[in-house]
Amino acid sequence: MTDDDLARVLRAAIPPVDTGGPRSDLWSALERRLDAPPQWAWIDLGLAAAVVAALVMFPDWISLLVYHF
Amino acid sequence: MRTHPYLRAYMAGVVVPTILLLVMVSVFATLRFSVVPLAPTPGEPTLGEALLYEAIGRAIIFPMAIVPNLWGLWNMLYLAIDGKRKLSLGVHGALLPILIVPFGVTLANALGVFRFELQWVIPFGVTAMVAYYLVWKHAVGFLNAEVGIST
Repeated sequence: MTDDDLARVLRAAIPPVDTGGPRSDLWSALERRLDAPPQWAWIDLGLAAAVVAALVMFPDWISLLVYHF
Repeated sequence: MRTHPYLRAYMAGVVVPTILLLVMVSVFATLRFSVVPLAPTPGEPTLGEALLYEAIGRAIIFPMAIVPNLWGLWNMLYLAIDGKRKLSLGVHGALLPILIVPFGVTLANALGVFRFELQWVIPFGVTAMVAYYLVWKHAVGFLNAEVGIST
């Protein structure tokens, strides 16, 4: 068996690797994701609700909190 | 290519408290000059009540001058420690009340603006930290992105 025969046998035994690349441009998708503003997560909504609850319980804190902005 | 990143960080940092100050001053001016005038007429609020608003006028130097500048400097600090930082912008902003709240409460008590018992400083401080976290994460983060500061 020559080297060419061996290479042919190996190519036949091992399926070709798909080198077509990604179907879309991944870099622009990554860039969009990096540029996107932070989304409101459930934890953020929960924290906002906690702040509102604290201010409802202690209304005097509203003016003092505004004072710190 | 954009330059002066610290100037941009400062400018992005002062926007939120400056806008809120505009709202506060509008409310104060309405109360002081329209709802509760200094020289009360019969049936109107007393002079003592009006003077309370004068105290607010004195104390407004804190949100007017100190808070916006601290926000700007805090945002500059966030940029300065870029690369070494482990904190997100929201958490970084949430640490600011540790500096601001004791100062603000002391000043407000000294000027007689708010009657605030010291035992409530820590619960109030935690509430302020949570509020700051949300504002810094979403509002300051948005502004930083607009001026090209990485968050």
